[in-house]
Amino acid sequence: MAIIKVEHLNYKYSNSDTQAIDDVSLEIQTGDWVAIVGHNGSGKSTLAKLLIGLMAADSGKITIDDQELTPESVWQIREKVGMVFQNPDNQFVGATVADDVAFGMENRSVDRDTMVTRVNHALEQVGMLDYKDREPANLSGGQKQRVALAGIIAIAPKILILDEATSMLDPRGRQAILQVIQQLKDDLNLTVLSITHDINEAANADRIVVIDDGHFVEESTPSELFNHGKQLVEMGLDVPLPEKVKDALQERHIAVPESYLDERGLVDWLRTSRLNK
Amino acid sequence: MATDITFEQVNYSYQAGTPFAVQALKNINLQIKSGTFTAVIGQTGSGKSTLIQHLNALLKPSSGTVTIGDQVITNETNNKHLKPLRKKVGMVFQFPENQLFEETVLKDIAFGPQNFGVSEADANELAKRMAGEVGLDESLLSRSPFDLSGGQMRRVAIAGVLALEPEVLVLDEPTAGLDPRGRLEIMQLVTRLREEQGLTIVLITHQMDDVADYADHVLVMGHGELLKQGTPREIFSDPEWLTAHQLGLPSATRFAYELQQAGFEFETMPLTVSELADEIAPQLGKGDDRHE
Ligand SMILES: Nc1ncnc2c1ncn2[C@@H]1O[C@H](COP(=O)(O)OP(=O)(O)OP(=O)(O)O)[C@@H](O)[C@H]1O
Ligand SMILES: Nc1ncnc2c1ncn2[C@@H]1O[C@H](COP(=O)(O)OP(=O)(O)OP(=O)(O)O)[C@@H](O)[C@H]1O
Ligand SMILES: [Mg+2]
Ligand SMILES: [Mg+2]
Repeated sequence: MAIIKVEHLNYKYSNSDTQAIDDVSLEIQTGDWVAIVGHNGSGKSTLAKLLIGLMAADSGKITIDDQELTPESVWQIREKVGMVFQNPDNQFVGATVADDVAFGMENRSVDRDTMVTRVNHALEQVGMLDYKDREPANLSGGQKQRVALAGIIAIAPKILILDEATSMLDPRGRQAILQVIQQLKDDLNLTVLSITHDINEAANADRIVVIDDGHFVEESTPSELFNHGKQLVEMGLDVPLPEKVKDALQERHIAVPESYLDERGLVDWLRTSRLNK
Repeated sequence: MATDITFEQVNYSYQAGTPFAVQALKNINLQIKSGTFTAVIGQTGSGKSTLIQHLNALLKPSSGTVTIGDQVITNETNNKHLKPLRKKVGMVFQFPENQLFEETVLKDIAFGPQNFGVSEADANELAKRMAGEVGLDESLLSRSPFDLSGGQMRRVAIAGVLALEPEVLVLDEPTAGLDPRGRLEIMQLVTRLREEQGLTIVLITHQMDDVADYADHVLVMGHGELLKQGTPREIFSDPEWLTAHQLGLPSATRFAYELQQAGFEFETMPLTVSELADEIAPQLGKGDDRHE
């Protein structure tokens, strides 16, 4: 079942002459982890802001959990959708880390005890429990991102939108947090939309949506998309390592398979090729 | 222009002297040679941003000394004397978007040079050139810097620092949020500035591939201490140590370890895809006649 349905969506910023979102239609299925990719300025954040009703589309229709997004329904819809913004400083409101994580629950009629439990649990999940009495402004970049993520983990809304929410985390920290969110998603059958330039994160998604200059380009599985090889750079993603290795081997006059191989696949191919020498 | 950088017994505490004091740097001793490319790595909260903010005296050591060229910074240093240092050391902050403030993108980039005495006309010229260098479309120059995408804002912030034409360029995760093309462009630009103009580069990054591809010296921070320093090859030669400190390997190195399991042999563990291919090509069928 589609939990998000976007039909012929259009949006232009008033001070710009180009469409930031240009006739975009797409569907997101309940329980999917969907990566949204595209080069800088392609319209990813704009789409996300339209989905939570931060701005109203010029035309087109957004349906979330069977409810059409309108000025009347926007508050109800925001109870179902939580978003972590690209720059965490734009979203801190609490005087302490704990207040900040609690804030999102205050509008969601959660009782005080449950709230405290959930705040502590969420902070623990992102490794920030020791910092709960600190001021959010006085944290390191990665710590700020962790706290922003704790805010959404505490709420566990039906739909999580992460706008480059892990871009400042160290590689292991990023993996760990994505796992936490994956687990939460699996446990509660949540839907995750994650805007990212990280190839590994995109590789772990169920589906990938590609946006280019406000247009919807394609929606596919990671392995279908990675077949595009070097073209992935146009789509705002890096070239996967196996493709880079194949290219480098080709430059050294070694014939390599044309179709996309993941790392496992390339190891197998190389192993065989070595034995056949 | 010799701008060697030296830290001697540097300690730093935020909110020093209050119950909320946090010691973010502990007895740091290090040297960064003029004209080198130094990468600073380490997990979340390890003190990287705190460390580099000492390079233009935005933070002053709680104790110890930082020397940049002929300027010595201690706890006592008076802010009045710091203007030349701020011109010499250009700093791209971790969330540089938060520093944008002018009415238009052009004015924002041109602000720095004008502040240091460059005429408006020259500063605008410089700003246009730098905007081009970081891949900002001309059509964006007259826009408010706040009406941009995240990646576009980041490019504006980087262009603004480049326009200062600093001798030391300090970048705090400059490519987070940039698309891969932007990331490559910025890294190549930085490398070119270093090669052509002898800039000293200090880069904080979580991208081990960038460390392997561009840096010649690496500082590893952990819990406010300098845990280790050396060449990328030295740092990446000990995977267990890296894992224990929550750090990773360059992707080519990680892949080489997998190939080792599959029977490949490596004389030295490769750090880059090109080194990897050099090592495995001769071990493959049709690899023999590869040398022209
Ligand atoms: N407030 C605004 N006013 C005018 N134009 C804007 C505004 N915000 C964004 N834009 C423009 O709309 C387009 C889409 O921006 P958006 O922020 O959605 O991109 P994005 O895909 O999220 O990019 P990034 O990867 O850099 O974050 C860009 O060309 C941008 O310049
Ligand atoms: N303004 C501040 N006031 C108090 N403590 C701070 C402040 N800024 C940073 N800290 C603390 O100092 C320590 C080092 O922070 P720093 O920003 O240098 O880390 P970092 O290595 O840059 O991390 P990241 O990769 O997350 O950006 C952290 O524990 C952080 O919470
Ligand atoms: Mg964006
Ligand atoms: Mg930092």
